[in-house]
Amino acid sequence: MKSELAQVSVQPTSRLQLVKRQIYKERQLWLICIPMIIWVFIFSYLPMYGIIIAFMNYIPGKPIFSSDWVGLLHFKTFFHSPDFWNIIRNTLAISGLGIVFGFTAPIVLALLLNELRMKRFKRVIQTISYLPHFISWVVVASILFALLGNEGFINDMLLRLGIIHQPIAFLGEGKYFWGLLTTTNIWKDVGWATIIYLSAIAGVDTEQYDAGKVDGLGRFGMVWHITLPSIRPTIVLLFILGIGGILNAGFEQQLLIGNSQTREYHEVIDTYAYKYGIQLGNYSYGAAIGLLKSIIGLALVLGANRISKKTLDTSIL
Amino acid sequence: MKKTFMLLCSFIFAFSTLVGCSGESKTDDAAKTEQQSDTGEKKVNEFGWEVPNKTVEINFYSGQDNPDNVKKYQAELQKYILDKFNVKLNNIVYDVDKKEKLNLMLVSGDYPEVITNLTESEAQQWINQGKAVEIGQYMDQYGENIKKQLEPWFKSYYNEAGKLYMLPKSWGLLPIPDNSAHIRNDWYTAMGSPAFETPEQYYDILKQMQAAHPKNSKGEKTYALSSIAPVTTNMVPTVAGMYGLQNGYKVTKEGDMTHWVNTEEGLELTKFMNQIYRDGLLDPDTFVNKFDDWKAKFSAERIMGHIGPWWQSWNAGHEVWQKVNKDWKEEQRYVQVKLKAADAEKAYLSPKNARGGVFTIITDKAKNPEDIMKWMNFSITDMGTRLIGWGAPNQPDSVWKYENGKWSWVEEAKKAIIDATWDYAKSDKLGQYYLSLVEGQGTMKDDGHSTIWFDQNFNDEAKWKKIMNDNLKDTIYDNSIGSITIPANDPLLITKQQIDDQLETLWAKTVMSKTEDEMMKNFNDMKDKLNSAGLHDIEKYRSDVYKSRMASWK
Repeated sequence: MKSELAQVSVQPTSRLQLVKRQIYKERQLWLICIPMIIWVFIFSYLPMYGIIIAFMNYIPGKPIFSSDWVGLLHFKTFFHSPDFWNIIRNTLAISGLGIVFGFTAPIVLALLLNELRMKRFKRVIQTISYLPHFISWVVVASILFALLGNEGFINDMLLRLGIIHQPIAFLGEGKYFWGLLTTTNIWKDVGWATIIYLSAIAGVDTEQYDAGKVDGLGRFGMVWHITLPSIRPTIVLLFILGIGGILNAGFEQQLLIGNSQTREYHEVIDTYAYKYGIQLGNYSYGAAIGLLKSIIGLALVLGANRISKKTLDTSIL
Repeated sequence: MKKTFMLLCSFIFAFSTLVGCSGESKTDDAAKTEQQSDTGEKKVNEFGWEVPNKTVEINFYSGQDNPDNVKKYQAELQKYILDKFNVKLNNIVYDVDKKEKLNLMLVSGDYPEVITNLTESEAQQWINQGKAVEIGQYMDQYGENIKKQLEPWFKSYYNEAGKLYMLPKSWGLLPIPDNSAHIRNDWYTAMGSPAFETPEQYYDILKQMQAAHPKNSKGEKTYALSSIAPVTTNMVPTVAGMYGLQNGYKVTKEGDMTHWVNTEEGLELTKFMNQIYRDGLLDPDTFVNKFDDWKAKFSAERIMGHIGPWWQSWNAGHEVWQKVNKDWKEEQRYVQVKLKAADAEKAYLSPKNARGGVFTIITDKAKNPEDIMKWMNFSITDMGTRLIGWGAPNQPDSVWKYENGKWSWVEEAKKAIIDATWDYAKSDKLGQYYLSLVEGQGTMKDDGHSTIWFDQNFNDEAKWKKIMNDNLKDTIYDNSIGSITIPANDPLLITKQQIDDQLETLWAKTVMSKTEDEMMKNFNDMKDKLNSAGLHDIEKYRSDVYKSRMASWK
């Protein structure tokens, strides 16, 4: 019994010593990291004390700690808001569509680009696919209005061809909004997101392809049996991070493309927090919604990571 | 050689800096001494203002606008006031949402000595935090004109503790209309000017007019009506006024307020709009249009009528046409007309808030609140109001003259207003209304008819303004008691915002219903959703405030 206790008391000291020894061994690396650690601590962790206003009735201009403590009142207000279920539904639907289509589209594009043999053509296509990423949402919204408005190009064309007799309110009916936003997001970011997959593909050992050829694999077979398994860690990593951002369903897009007619389909957590928190001066309410979102996001990342660790033996932590 | 050159450069730099500094101080001194008479007595200018020896600088934040434009537009009047009064007024604006900026100012402590254009609840937020100066203490010494001008409302600005922190801006009742229905004049007269009174009769005429002009000159489809989003804010209160409601509420004699959604009149006005939609004559972008989108359609002669403020059809109608069409005739314009539903006792189209809907506070940043009070005590006078509203007098581009204690109009400017050829860019250049803090907008007390709005001073002589005023004279009403805002930080404010947002969405859906049955269903759904979201709480809050004002503002 005595000897067991002695073992228990000794273990932490030896672990600490181990850590110390490790740090000493990597002291040059730690020295390089120190400024960044301090930077992250000051600018990312210290301001987090402000989260406390989510549990208070903070009044702008007054010191935070002089505000009344209200506990979970703002969370309850959000849960009881008539918009709550709509907002959650929209956020999950837009993000879900983004993950299903927006996540797979760059992988497919990267695989297709990798199969191109003409280098110059490949570069041109790549460059063209990046360009929309640099167009601001304000411009994208203008393009959409010109294309899909009641008097936009598409409606005009369909009317002239006699396919429709009344313009279709693509931008004025909620039922089109999710699809429209997902398509626009993919168009805008698919090229940019392929970069990381293309670099992962570039890292695949070419000998594997040679071996595949010898084994009689065709081009599709090589993609399926060599390329995809090789870039799987990258895909999993980005998927887990993407899951963490599942509640980031967009912000400028909704504010610029959405309107009162599509509100039931476009209002998401971020736009709601902005309107009801920042614009109305209810910072506490906005902070409570933001905090809730962060907690759910963190839980999802940890959950997805755990599943991935168990099933695919890949983890981000 | 290099050393000598560097030495020379340093010397030139240091010397020019010193010369620059000393030059500036000389100019300052000169400016200051200019304000003193040779005998050392205080100088009184032609406006009766005792010119201070030291320049009084008043920086005030007034909300969201383009800072470059405001800087440019206020320059001329700013200079005049500095020269004549030794007061430097500086209007500060930011291209940022006012609510956000005000909150940021509160948090950061970075705000000027005066803030204007605050709603009562916004002003209250500053007062609650001790950031507004109590100005009641200066009233006896510096507020004689303020007290006189603000009667009979003056006491209503004091809080329950008997303290005064805010003064109104744009107070007073100007008996000219704001909102109405509009109709394309030349096309209407071509139809033989058929009589109409109700919204339905008006729409019938718009329908016939649209049938006569189904496409514009570019071959684009025309509509009977359109609007600017949010429609429930921009158009519905006026339509509701045609059905006898006051600013969107049914008000009983006892002071109970019911939102239009919960009234029979609300259903009727929705049916009216739905009919236009079902006839295919409501612009499909009605609930999406921003002002510029609507203006583009309106000026392209695609909309037969309009419901909203009078200036909108002027700005988007003949003011555009007279610039782009050489053959434009003065009949080519919209006229403002009264509509009253058959069952309505009276049409309430233009609510007026004689008590003032926005307020000015002096903040704790003010080093000499007394000086600011002195200025406001002058600018609130009729002559101060003229100066702020009409711009500097006796200048090459002025609209008025002020000589030997008497004022008169510049005939050329007056004629331009009467002939409706006035270029409003000139108003901006004169700084009209840009340096306003506490001036009223009602008729002035000294002559009984001038008003701060330069272009509203000749309504009896300006043909089209007179037509408008004659058409709408009994549609204006005093809504001071009914002008109620919910205080910031009151949870009811979130409820109100939720209801406003839902209302716009659900009403758009109701109006755009394809059958009357669908419309009825959507209307009832909307009513239920809004009431369960707290609309009755809003009605109760408003009714309580209304009743308490009825008792205390007698």
